[in-house]
Amino acid sequence: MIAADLRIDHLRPEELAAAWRFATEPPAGSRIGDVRRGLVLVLRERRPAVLADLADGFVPLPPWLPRDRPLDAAALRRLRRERGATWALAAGADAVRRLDEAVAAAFDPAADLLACALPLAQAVREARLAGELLFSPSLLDDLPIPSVASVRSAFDLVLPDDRSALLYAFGAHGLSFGFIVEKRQGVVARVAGHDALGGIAVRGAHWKAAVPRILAEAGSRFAPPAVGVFADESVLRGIVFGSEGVALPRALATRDVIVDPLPAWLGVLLGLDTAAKAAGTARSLLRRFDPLGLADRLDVGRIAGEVQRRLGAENPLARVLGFDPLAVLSRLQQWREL
Amino acid sequence: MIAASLHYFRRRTDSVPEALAALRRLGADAVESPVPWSVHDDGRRVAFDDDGAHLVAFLEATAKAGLGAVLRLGPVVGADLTGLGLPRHVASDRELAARGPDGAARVVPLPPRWFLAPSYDSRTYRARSCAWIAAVAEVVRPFLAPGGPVRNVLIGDLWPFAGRSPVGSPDFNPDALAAWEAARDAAPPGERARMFGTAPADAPGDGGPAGILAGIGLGRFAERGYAAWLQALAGTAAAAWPAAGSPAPGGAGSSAALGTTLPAAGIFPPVGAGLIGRAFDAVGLDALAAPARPATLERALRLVAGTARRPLASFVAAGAPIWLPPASSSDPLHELRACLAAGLGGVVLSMGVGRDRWSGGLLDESLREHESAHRFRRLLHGLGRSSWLRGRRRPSAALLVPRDYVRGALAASAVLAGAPAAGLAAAFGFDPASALDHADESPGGGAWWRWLETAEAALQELGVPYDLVDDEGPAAIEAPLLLVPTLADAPRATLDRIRAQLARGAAVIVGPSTPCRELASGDNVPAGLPAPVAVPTAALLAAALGAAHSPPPAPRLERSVLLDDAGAAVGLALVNRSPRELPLGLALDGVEPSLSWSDLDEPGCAAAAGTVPPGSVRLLVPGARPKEAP
Repeated sequence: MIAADLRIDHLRPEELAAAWRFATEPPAGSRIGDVRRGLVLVLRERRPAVLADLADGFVPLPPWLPRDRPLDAAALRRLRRERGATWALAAGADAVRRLDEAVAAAFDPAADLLACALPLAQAVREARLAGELLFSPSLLDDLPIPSVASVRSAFDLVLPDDRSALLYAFGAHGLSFGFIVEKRQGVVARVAGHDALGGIAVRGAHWKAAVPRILAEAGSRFAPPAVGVFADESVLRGIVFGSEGVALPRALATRDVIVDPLPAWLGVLLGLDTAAKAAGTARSLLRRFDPLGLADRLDVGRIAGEVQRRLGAENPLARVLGFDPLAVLSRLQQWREL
Repeated sequence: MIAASLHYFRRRTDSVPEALAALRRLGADAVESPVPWSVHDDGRRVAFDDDGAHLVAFLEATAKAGLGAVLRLGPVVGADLTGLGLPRHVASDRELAARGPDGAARVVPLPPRWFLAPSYDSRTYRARSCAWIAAVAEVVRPFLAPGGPVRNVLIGDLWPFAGRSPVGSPDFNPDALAAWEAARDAAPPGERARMFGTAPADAPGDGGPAGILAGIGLGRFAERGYAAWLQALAGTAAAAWPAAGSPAPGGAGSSAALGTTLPAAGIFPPVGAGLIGRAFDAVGLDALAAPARPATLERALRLVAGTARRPLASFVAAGAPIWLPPASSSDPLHELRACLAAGLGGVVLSMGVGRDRWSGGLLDESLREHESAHRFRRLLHGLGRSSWLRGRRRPSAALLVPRDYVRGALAASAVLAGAPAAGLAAAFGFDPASALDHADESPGGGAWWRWLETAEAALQELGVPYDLVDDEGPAAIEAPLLLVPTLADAPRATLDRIRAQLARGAAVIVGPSTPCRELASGDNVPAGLPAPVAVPTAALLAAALGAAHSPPPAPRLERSVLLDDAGAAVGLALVNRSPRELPLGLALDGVEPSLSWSDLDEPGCAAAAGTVPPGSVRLLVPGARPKEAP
């Protein structure tokens, strides 16, 4: 999916820093923590041996953590919560050896990154099932691992060949970050920052006025856009990090998020998601005056499925991948509760 | 040398002169570029004058612009290239790849394409890499200094062993195994018994004493193999050069230097700074480390500064690679100042001109100045005006780093967390030894590291200028105080350093244990070494230096005066490690009272004023002196 001669250019440091902040520092109230806060617990014969905190380096093991018996998921979760980490990983030399061997086995000089890396997901799962590797929270344990072909199909659906995709976020002072991704011959051939468009000025709150020009310029300098997401950064953070259930439908309605062009697959996906979110909101509201617990009988998934059936729409990505990526995002948004 | 990077192979030939002129205006006196093997060799022919591979045109333009040139020949040059600059026919050839114990080729899983790590002992790889160096040396020959622009030629890999520590991941390429057997057979009997198992797979074993010793032996063997390969490359280059009447770089009559580089991994680089410092005068530090681990970079700077004969900063980031988290420091010049404060005698700012797979730099791809460029310009012009780069630090203390203990720590951490973990931990700034048992006084334990950290903290508390010195390095130690972490098993190089210091009457503090056995041979160590000190406190160090424990102006402020060959002060570096802002007047109290100081990056002659903020580095040069009478 990535060209060997992938070109990444015109990324200003400020833009890169803003994107990094966006990805790693969730807004207050988010159920996803700061992903820079992580723990790596080194196991020796499955027992805790050494603890590394990404923020503080190697730190002593807490006294309550038993060194004389294999680590379990509950202890890892407690360790994570106690140190205020967003994620924790426990692994020993046997897991590292397994993954090392998987890397060697997966290498194919003619294959691209996806074809080499996807078999690693299976090796990770096997290591986890063998008890050599533990994650906390265990968010994606039961997610099916798609085949290389299905990921390629999904990618082709999302971004067809000789088309480009744009993701722009705007803050109070104008552009926070903007990325343009161009796909050629089945692979991402170029990723560029906003400067690649020749310096289109974006003024603070008036960013919506710049969208048509950005799209036109992207179309002339890159492959024609297939999808473009332009958003107020704080609203986009609220959507991605899930601090509010109905943030996406509302943002689309208020045009705090503009999707232009809107491809058919995304239209279907957004419609289904909106239906599911609406059902979820109804349940939340119902709970407030629901002493009999009726709200819990309101099955959000069933309602979304019913909407889907009645609309005659099918989630195209779920069909190709074997799972619904928006459902995965929803699950990730429950991070702190796991 | 004040160089800025411009990747000629990423620009059109006709745009190079304009870019060189822009760099010159910014204050650079030289331009640096990798010469990637993959760009010039498509597997069918090696070319240096094709479109996109116009090395010759680049060097001609550099000469015309009156700039010097620094060339990095690799073979692994990095530069965010696919395969890190190795051509596809090398990066995918299993025959010349390093191998694991099961014979599988070692893969480097870096995007956008994974590739195979070459084996430094593979005869095929040696032949092919030497052929590459010979080809490029032939092209560079007419451009060597003093007649041409090429002042520095750097060879060797960006990150030796491709991120793995050879101590935990021995190479099982058949040629490497044969070389290991030859080294074992040639070793003295005592060393053979202790430092070599029956096979490389025996090391580091289960982490027991014998396994750790074998791991140390394996590390020595692998690092020497790398150094021997580097010398083969250097020999190939040198062989091409004198034939044309150009003196060999580094040789008599030449002002071009042949050097190599080390990555910034604290005191845990994949190859010892001492070992390669013996092979090359010029050793460059690629001063790029994870932003969250500033101590890693500082230790690496001091290690290269204290060990190499001609230390350079071969890569100082201006801008950032897109694959590292952006630095949180508000001062984009901090790393550059830190390099200069450590006394590195030349800098390469990367990137001078923006490029693919990089964010920022001095100039963007269209040669427009980035936001921070004016600050770099002031500092670079200040460097050009001053004699800073001709100055040398005179540290009051040297902290010896026994390389065999480093190898022991890498071996123990590979046992603890898996073979690749040792190299990865070092690469990401997690000092592998800090994961080990601090009470364990064996070469596979963490007691020596705890002692070294304590000694370093005491030096920093005192504000004493100090260097780290690899015990296998070439340079004589001139500091009046030497601090040495020692265990019962001590490397011969460490013992030799202690004895040399004692012979010249310098103070030596060792600990936590008394050396009683030579590590490799197991021979007893004769008496006469100082008694060990369990905890090297600031008070103890102050007493050894004959200094007061809390001297003015303030503790945790390091003041290093740089002196030229005549002994005149040419610079003063202030490193404030205290949490407080220090008034400059207080910081300068008692330093060369006859001189006035001005900031290196201030264009005028105004005396420096203000403060030294916490965590910052401030560089001063002697102020204007009265003109001498004609």
